[in-house]
Parts: sequence; C-alpha cells; structure tokens
Amino acid sequence: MASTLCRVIQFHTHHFFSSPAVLFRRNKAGMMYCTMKSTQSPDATRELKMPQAKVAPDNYRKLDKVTEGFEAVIGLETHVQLNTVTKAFCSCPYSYGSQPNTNICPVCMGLPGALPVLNAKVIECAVKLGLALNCKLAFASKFDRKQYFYPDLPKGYQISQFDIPIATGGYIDVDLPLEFGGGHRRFGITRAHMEEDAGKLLHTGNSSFSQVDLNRAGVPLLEIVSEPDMRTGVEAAEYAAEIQRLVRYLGISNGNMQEGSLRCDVNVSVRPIGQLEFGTKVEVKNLNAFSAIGRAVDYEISRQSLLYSKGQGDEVVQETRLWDEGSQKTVTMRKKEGLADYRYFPEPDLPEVILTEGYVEKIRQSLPEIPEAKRRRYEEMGLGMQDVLFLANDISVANFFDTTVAKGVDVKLAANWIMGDIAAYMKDEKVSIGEIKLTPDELAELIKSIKDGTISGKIGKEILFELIAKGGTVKGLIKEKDLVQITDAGEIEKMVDQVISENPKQVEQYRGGRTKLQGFFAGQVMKMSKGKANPAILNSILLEKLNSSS
Amino acid sequence: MNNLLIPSSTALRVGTRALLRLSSTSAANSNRIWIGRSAFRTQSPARIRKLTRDFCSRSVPDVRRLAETARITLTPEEIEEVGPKIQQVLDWFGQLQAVDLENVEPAIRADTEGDNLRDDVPEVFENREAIIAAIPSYEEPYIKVPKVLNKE
Amino acid sequence: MGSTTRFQSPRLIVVVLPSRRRLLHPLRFPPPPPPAKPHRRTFHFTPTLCFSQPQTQTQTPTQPPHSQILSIRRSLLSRSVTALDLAESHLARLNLAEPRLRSFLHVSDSVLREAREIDEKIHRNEETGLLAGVLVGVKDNICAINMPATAGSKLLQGYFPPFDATAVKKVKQSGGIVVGKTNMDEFGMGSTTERSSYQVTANPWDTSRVPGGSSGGSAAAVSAGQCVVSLGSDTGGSVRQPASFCGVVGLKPTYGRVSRYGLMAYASSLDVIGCFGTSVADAAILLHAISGHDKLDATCSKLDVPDFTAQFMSASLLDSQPLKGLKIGLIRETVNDGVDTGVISSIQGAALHMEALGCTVTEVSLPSFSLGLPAYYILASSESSSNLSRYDGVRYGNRAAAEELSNLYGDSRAQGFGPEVKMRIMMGTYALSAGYYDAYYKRAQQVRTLVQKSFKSALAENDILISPAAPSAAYKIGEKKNDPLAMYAGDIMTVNVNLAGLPALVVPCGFVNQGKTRLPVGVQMIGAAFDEDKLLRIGHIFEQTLQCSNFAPPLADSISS
Repeated sequence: MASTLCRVIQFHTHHFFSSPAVLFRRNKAGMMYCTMKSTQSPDATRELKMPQAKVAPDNYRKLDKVTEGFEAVIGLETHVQLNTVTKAFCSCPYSYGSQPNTNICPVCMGLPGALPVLNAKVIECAVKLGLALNCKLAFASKFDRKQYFYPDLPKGYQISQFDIPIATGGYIDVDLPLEFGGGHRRFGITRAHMEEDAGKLLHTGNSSFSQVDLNRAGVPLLEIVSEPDMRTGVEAAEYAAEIQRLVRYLGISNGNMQEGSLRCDVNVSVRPIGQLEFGTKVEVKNLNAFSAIGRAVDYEISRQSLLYSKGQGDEVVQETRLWDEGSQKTVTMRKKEGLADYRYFPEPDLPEVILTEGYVEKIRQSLPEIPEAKRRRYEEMGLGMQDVLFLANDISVANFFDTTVAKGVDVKLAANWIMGDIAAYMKDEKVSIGEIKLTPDELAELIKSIKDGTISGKIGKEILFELIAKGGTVKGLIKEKDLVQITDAGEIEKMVDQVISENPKQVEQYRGGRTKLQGFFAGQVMKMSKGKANPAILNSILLEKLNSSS
Repeated sequence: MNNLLIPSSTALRVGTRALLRLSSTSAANSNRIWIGRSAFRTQSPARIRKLTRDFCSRSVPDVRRLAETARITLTPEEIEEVGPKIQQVLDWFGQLQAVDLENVEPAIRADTEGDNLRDDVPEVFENREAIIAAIPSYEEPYIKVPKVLNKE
Repeated sequence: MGSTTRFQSPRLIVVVLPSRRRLLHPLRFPPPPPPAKPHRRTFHFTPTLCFSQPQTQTQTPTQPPHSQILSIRRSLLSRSVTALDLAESHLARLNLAEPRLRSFLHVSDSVLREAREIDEKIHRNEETGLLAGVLVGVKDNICAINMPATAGSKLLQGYFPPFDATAVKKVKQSGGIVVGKTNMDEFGMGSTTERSSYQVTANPWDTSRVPGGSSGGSAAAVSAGQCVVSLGSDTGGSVRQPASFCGVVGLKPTYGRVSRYGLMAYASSLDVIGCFGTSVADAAILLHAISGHDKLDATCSKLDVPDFTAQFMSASLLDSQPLKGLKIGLIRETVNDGVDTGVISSIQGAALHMEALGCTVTEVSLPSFSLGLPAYYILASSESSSNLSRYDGVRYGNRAAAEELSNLYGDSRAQGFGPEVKMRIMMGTYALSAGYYDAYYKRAQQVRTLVQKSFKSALAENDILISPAAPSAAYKIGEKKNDPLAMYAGDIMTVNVNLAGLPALVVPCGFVNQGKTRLPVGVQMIGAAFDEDKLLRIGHIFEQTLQCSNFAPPLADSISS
C-alpha cells in the first residue's frame, strides 16, 4: 500500500535564502499543502519551519478601499555594486568591511594630478548585464561628470554616464510569488550604465562633526533604471529580487542589500485609472530589504491615493521620502526644488568606450542560463511552480539540480530531495549548497538506489544526512553499513512471525480493532531488520499475518 | 481630482537637456565668422554687445547664486566687483552664437586612440601614510568634517 | 685636458672645452672660449632683425646655442667636472638671481646630495641616464615627492604630494636633479605670473616686466641660467608665450605624448606638460625623456616615442639649403592688425631666414582662427570649474575653520583661491549649467572641431605652420592686470594649437626694442600631431643657422659680475 506523504513545502524559499525578512502578505493565503505519491518515505510528515505568515492588519483592508479607482505607476532605480577585485578607475583592491580609509590611493582620494583609468572588467560586467536584460548595447558610449559637492565625493563630481549609457531599452521577466497569485510579468528596462560609488559619510552621536570613510569611493556600480511598469508593491519587490537573482547568476555582484551591494530606490506616483498622464512622482529611499520595498510602495500608494481622494492632491509633491522601518511609514526627507542641476559634461580624462561585435559575441556565449530561462525550462520538465521558483532562485542550487538530473534520475524526486532534506540541512547548519559534502552525482546515485530497491527510502534519508555532513559515496556507505534493503519475502516473513509471536498482547488488541497498531508491528520489524526491510513487502506480509485469524 | 491632470515628468534620467533655442542676431551677421581680428581689440565693445544682445539679454548671471553653486563664499563687495567682469566675459563668449555650426560634430578632445584600459589587478598604493598625513582634520580612522546639514 | 674639438658625428654640435674646475662664464656651461671681442654685441638698427644677411661692421658672429645637456654629459663622463661642482655653481647662480627674479617657490635641499650620488655612480662606472647631473626646474603644478606643490595657490600651501608625476619620475630615472618648484599663475590661469598668490616673477631681460605665464617661473629660470632645463605646462600657450617673452626655447608636445599623471589639472582636454631649454636640442632631449605611454593616464598615447634628436645635424654639415623642399605656412591671421610691428618684423625675418634655408614660405589662412579664443576660454573655464571642485579643504590643503559643512567649502575656497580663479570657476559653472550647455560648451566643442579641421588641411599642404607666439613682447608688470579681456587677448596666437592638440615649438628669432630695453621675440612653429620629429629638426636647423643667436639676458651678466 502506498502511503500518502504529506509534506509542507516552504514558501518564499527563494526569498528565504536571499533575505531573512518576512514578506508582508496581503491576501488570505496561508499555508499550502501539496500531496504527492511517493514510495520514498513512509513516515509521517517531515515538517519544515515556516515563516510566520503575517495577516494583513485591519486598517490595511480599509485602505484597499481607498486605492480603488487609482492606478499606481512604479519605477525602480537599482544600483548594483560590482564584485571586481579593484575599483573602477584605480587599482585599489576593495573589500567590504575593511578598516576605514585603507583602500585608498591618489586617484580615488581625488588628489591633485590624479587621473582615472577604466577597469576593463567593468565593461565586461556591464555588457553581461545589458545582454541578460535584453538591452540594446551602445557600441560607442562615453563617460560624463555628474557634479555636486558632498564630503563622500572626493573629486566634487561622480564619473557616470549621462546621455549615452552603455545599455538601453531592455526588459526583464519575473514570476510573481505564488502566494500573491503568481503570474508572469515583463518589466521594461530603460537603461543601464556604469558609474563609480561614493565613499561613506557617517553621522556620529556627537552632532558637531561627521566622519568620512573613502574606502568605497570609486567602487564600480551599474545603475539600472526600470520603465515605470510596476503597479503594486509585490511587483516592485519581485523586480528587485529578480535583479538580485540575475546579478548573482551572472556572477557580477553578490547583490546583498544589507551590505549595500544592491540598493534600490523607488519612484511611486498614482493616477486615476484610465488617465494617461502620470501623477506627481515621489521618490522613496532607505529600503534595505525586498519586503521593505513592497511595504513602502504599498504605503506610498495608499498615502497618495488617500490625499487625492480627499481632494488634497496638491499635498502630493515631488519629493524624496525615507522609508522608516520602525513606524512602517514614509517620511519626508527633503523637498526637491526642481531637478538638481548636475552640470553634466563629457569626461575629458577618459576615452570613449568602444565595443566590438566579436567582444560582445564572446560575452554572449559565456552567459549562463538566466533565471527566466531556467524557470521556463523547469516548467517544461514538469515541475510545479513551487519547485520551479525554489530551484531557480539560486544558481548554485539550480546547477546542483541540473547536474543531478543530467544523470538520468526523476526530476521530481531530485527536486524533492533538494527542497526538502537538503534545504533543511542547509538552513539549520547555515551553509550553502556549495559547502555541503554531498555531490550531485551522489544524490543521483541515492535516488537510483532507492528506486531500484537496493535500499529503502528510510535508509536513504539516513544516508543522506551522512553524505551531506561528511561526504562519501552511496555505494560506499551501503557497503560499509550493510544497508542493503531486504526484499526477500521469506526473510521478512520470518521476522514478522517473530515479532508477532513476541507481542501477543498487541496482536490481540489489533485483532480487537486497534488497527493502528500495525505501525507498531511494522516498527518492530524494522528495528529487527535494522531498517532494511522493504516497507511495502513488510506491510503486505504483516497485514496478511495480522488479519488472518489465529 | 483636478490636481491629477497636471502632468508631471516621469523618469527624466535619460537626459535631454532643455535646448536653448537661440535666435540669431541680425540677418547680416547670421553667417558671419570673425576673421582675422582679435574681435574685441578692433571691434568696439559696443558693437560686440549689440551683436550678442539677443542671446545675452536673458543670460545675466546671478552672481550670488553662481558663487553658491561653486561653493565659494563671496562678500557683497566682491560680488559687486566681479559681477561686471563676468558679464563682460560672458558677453564676449556670446560671439560664438553668430557662427554657423550646423552639422559640426562637437569634439571632446584632440583625437585619442581609444581603449586605454586597465586589467582588474590590484596594486596597493605604497604611500598611504603620506595621503593621511595631508588630511587637515583626521581622527583615526576617519576624515573629520563639520556636521552636514543637507545634501545638495 | 683636451683642446677644443668638434664632433663631426651626425649628432649635435658639441663643443667640448678645456676642462675647468670652476664655472667661469655665468651663463653657459661648459663655457665657450673667451670671445675675441666683447660678447655683448649691439644691433644698431630698429626694429632688430636677425636673419642671414651680410653682417654689418658691428655684428659679431655668435655661436649658435649648443646642448647643455650633452655638454654636461660629456664633461661628467670624461671626469672633467663633477656633478657636485655643476650643482653648486647653478645653485649659487640661482640664489644670486632669486631676489630679483623670484622664479622659484621652493628650492630643493637635496640637490647637492643627489649630485654626489651621481658622482659616485660615475666613479663606479655605473650607468647614468642622459640627464645625469642636469638641474631641472619643475613648475609648481607638477607633483614631486618631498617637495611642496602649490600650483601658485594659497589653497595648497603646505601640501606635499605623496607621489611623483610620471614626467618627474622619468626625469629622475634619467638622472636629472629636480632643483625646485617654479612660480606660476594660480592653477595655470594667467599669462604673466601676476596671478600667483605668492610672488610675481620678473623677466630676466627687464625686471620691470613679466616673464609671461603661466609657466613664467620655469621660463625665467632657464633664461637666467638658474637651471639647465625646466618643465612647464601648456593649456593655452603657457609654455610658448613665456618662452617668447624670455628668449628661450619652449616646446609643447602633442596632446597625449606626455603623461598628465601628476599634473594638477586645469583643463583636462587641453593640458600638456612642456619643456624649456636654451636650445632646441635640450628641449628635445628633455621631451624624449618624459614622453611615452603611461598606464596611469588614459589619454596618453601608445605610439612609440622616436629619438627626436637622432636626425639632428651639426650646422657645419648642413647643405646650403638644408630645408629645401619644405613648405612653411605663415598664418595670415597672426601677422596683421593687433600684433606689434616689432613682432611682425621678427616673424617676417624668421620667414626670410627659412626661405634662405630653402623653404617655400606662403601665407595660409585659418578661417576659424579668431573663434578659437572664446572657444578656448569657454572650454578651459568649464573644465577647470570641474577640475577645481576637489579643492575643498577636506582631504588636503588649507582648510578654513567652519562649524558647518557648506561654510567649510565656501570659506576654504574663498580664502584659498585668488580672484582670477574664482572668476573662471564661476564662469565655467555658468557655462555648464542646465540651459547654457548647448549655447556655450557644446558650441565651443564644435568650434574645436572646426579648428582641428582647418589645421589638418593647412598641415596637409604645409610641413609646418609658423606664427608669433604672442602679439607683443613682454609687457610691464601691472599693465594688464585689471582687464580680463585684454589679458585673454594675448593668448590668441597659442590657444588654437591646444584646441587641435598639435605640437608646437617656440624658438627665439629676434628682438624688439622698447625704449632702451631689448626684448626677445620667439617664432612659433606648429607641426602635425605626433610629428615632433620633423618640427624639432626644422627648429634645430633654424636655430643653428640663425645669425644673432645669443639670447642671453643682461641679468645673467649683471649677476655674475
């Protein structure tokens, strides 16, 4: 008899590994269960830890009414800090967390007489990103100076690209999380360009002075500007998550919002449904997690809609607001008095950036399969969206999966193992899939061994743990621990007989009606066989014996 | 609801600058190129001013604002003194308005061969102490600046 | 030790003189043989013309300038003099002249030590570079370790750069001794050194006059023999105009020939480091030493640097018409109204001299010539307003006391910058502002294209172009100070060359008389991009065959006596 396995699938695992913050969910979806046939494990549910589902607060539901009739128009500006070894325009090595003002040289300090020289790797990263975002690449682009004064900007200008960015006019495909209804979206990318980062300005408790650390000055950034295509907080958050996924896939950044290697600002405006003109745009900064993006956008939509609907639309001004995580609100930072004049002009110290067809083609060939492509491929393989989103979230996990599946094992089984026991281990031990000792080859071997009956599913799980923690081969462990499944009916029958004879009281109880005791007997046989008895055969013999009249 | 009908600009980051439409000066001068003479030595200042008046009339610089933008504190006396000089030079710059530059590509610099790039190979600057020593106000490990009120 | 010999090699004329332990002649070293007649000759006609005409009674044939660098080298290697001796005598001379000239903002205190080190190397028969023992002055906007660099500004008072400019590094690698940092107009903005926040340098020909600028200190120092050669910078003529005013050779290389790393930027698309010397050969040797690709400057060319003096021939080996077949274009727009008649005569004289050497000199017209001046100033102000944004007192330089950040910036810059710099920053800020970029900056860039094109086509028809380096000879100190446009007017001859990025050489060619004083005038020769070879060869031949080629200023003599 096949048993039904209930397994709780962990949601938001694609966010789970990227940001430990909890997603704020608006709809009523709580936990979802998924059933599937499997001979793998007869045991009861192996429950995984679930993030606490937040239920929408009451006032939020009221605000749903407020936003009715309005449409939000959202765009994101994302800065991706590249993980090149050296800075953009000088040879200083950069590492996050270094002692302040140690990764410096005349160029990034803006000393008199210093000159910038472009790091070739930055162009490579920009082209990779441009291609992955389906952009049109500018084969001749240039740098411009963006001028403003601030202590963290040593030269008094930032080297950036103004009117001829290296990439324009692309798009990115995302899959929205299932608990928000799932669905496919395509968001436009207006442009992506190269620029340098500024240093850090720290405000001390002592308010009479501030502190400047210029380690980060000159680190290369790619700025990605989206088309204002998003309409909800969820879409905005997922767009940001997809950018993170993408830059990690491409290996150009570690895309870490906490460390600041991925920074997002959103622009939110609201207009009545059907109106073509955009409403007043408000910028929101200080977003340190994807969940914050979602919440901030939703808050801002509500705030603006409320004002408009109360006839106070002129209080919606073009300004910059900060997201306050504590109070879960946006607050005014400064009012923009018109657009800042950065007095852009072409950077005379740097020659044009020229790309050749050959160069671009070479990079195109070297691109990995991007998350979107993977997701579509996994879907075609027959995996459910749940699994697809989980597996495609992290490129190392996806590669692990792909390698395992390439050995010819069942796709679903491989997915389950990875998403279940392996993911759980990784979470408990706080390791990544690259750090576990289990190799895809061995996982494939494990799956095969269970499938062809060499070992039982239960044994398989035990071996798995050892393989993950200590490594080794499936074959080796089977041999070493003598784990081969017992499939000989005769042998099993002997054990069943023994157990039955040793436990007459329970037999009687069973025959008296407590059929649940079957599990007890099965357990005893398993113990006796050191877990090697084939469960199916065991149970069938057991039932037969138990149900036969004495 | 009326407020929403006021259009507001969205992503202007792909920049197009406000093009200053220049009305050329008198027809007789529209294609004139100043040949051969230091324009201001032999042309009277009055003549130059007349020729560039159209353009310059709207470009009287607000010197106080310029000084602020350039982060240079000027006393009112200094502003008064330098204002006319700046105006004079800007008027003189204006003579370029009279030149026919249709179809001329702007040149950023003299021809340079492109492609002077650097490999992504680290080199630690060996004289960091001297850089630090030059900092006027340094409190290990930070550069000190007076408190910052507002970002520009 | 030896007698006077003349090297008959196809290289330079070098006169190796009897060894002397002491420097006798105050100006040239090794000293030339004592002249039969007093070596101060006079020309009894005005305007003074120098060209190959039959000599008058009173004219004494003078020696053409020789390469001090090569003379020093031979003397050192032949042990006829030590580097220490040379250094001591130059320093003595420097210090004697300084009170009147004020060419230097800083004099190195390690000159003698470095000279001794060179002597030790020679003693050990070790390789020494071509510039071994040569005292080099360096303009104060070029960084040299262990010496202050102020760019003539109070804002950088006390600033010690933590690195050498690439050009300085190369000078040192060739054995050159950096004798000190020379005075200049603040951040390169000026044409007289009157805009230096520290001192005004005097012209060795007439100490009531300016030496030119912004590299006035470097030009005066070489002219007065305070150092052998010097480095300057040229953004709109700042090497060529002082060379003309001081009667020395000034060489502006092609943009990208010499690395700009370590040159405090004034206008990044126009700045170059240039050379001063008392002969074309010295300027050429110095240029060769400092040229070449530098990975620290992305605008620096990867082209090979030829040995510029390889083709130099001694005058005695030249044909009667050594420049036969060459076409010289005299820029028409530079020799008409607005230029001093004395200067025009000198240039015409130079043209005649060149014709005598076999060239064909024709007038060429560069239609966009006069547009270059406003275009240049727009570009220079705009770029400099950006390049000078980094001077805020936060990471280096003079910081004003302030309680709030915007005061820190505003006050440090207000106190540190001089009035001309402030004005140009504000003009540049204006020109780049939203709404004005197209009208000013972009237009100026377009004019640059026109200028580049017109030079290109003129140089397709001619081997080189010639013009004066300035509309007049040196003016009096204080004469132009308050009129910005009058000051800018003086750059008309030189700015277009920077816009086009071409190389140019100024060679002294004549004099004008201003009352009792005689002031030198130089002819500017302009070549095609990266064609310094041809330019220098022509300049060398011109110089070596010029009849009145003693451009030693009177100051030098009055000091030594």
